[in-house]
Amino acid sequence: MARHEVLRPQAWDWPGPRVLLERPSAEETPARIDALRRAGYAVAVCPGPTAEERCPLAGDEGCAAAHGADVIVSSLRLESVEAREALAALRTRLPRLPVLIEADAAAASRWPELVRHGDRLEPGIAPSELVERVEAAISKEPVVSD
Amino acid sequence: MTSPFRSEAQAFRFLLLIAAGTVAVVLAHAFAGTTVLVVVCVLAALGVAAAYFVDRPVARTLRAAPPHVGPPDERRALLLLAENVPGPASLARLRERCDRVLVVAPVDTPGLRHWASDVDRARSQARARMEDAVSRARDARLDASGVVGDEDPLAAVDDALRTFGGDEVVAATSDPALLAALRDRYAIPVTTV
Repeated sequence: MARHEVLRPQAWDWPGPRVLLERPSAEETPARIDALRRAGYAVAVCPGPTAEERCPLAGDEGCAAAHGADVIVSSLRLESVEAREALAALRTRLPRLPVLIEADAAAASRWPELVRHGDRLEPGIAPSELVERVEAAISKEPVVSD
Repeated sequence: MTSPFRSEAQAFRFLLLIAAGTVAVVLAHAFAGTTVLVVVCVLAALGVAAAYFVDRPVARTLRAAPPHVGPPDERRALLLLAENVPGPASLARLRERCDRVLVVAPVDTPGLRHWASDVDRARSQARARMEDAVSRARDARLDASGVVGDEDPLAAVDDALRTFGGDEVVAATSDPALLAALRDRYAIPVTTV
């Protein structure tokens, strides 16, 4: 009988600065990880909760990986209720943590409380540009976009 | 507190099972003798325990990796020597994609030797395997060095990543469980030779 799996994000083993990638696409993940690591970041990849489970961040247990991150890059699809719940929990529980959200302009304008000005990443953003956006987010420089 | 249940639905199923067991015990107490009551109690307890352990979820952690170490263009590999030393062809292929290699030989202390703390002999054997692998890697014109690592291969790789870094883990193993564990743990490529 197959055992059920449940997401239990662990605390970071590596020194910072740390970038948590939330559900990046399988094709883009290796290049993004490589670019971020070569720019000096520790990286963790969250596959996101399965359809049957709730994101730990939105539950009582919380998410140790998110709490220990310096930046979160979310590729969760905003059309999903669970994704919006997770992002809302991020905004509430970690209000000072920079969160960059990969979303198209239509989704960003539909949920402005989640995708704040300057937080949006164009879907399929190039790894080098992602590194620049992460660096800007950590240094809290104003980012001009949209 | 971390919930032992995967979802609210699973917790509800577990609650229903406890309720059914309780009803069975109450009915046995009301309408049957002591022997039947004891049997029902035992079966109910075993059923609840079995349901809990069978339906208990497996924790799934995140893949992670430390920052790159070394010059930006340099590619480093950790060669985890879990079994035999890779042959010349494998080392030649490794040279095509890596600039530096760190051979990590975990101390192998199986069974009684672990409990008897016979680690000195295991450590010297690991060192010999490591030195053999480093020598072969250098023969294959790889920039190679080596360390003896923890008996837990994952801990050995963790330690090596902290000091040497590593953009790839190359596992000299045919153990699918070890390969799966490495791939579940690290956000860098894990290959095998």
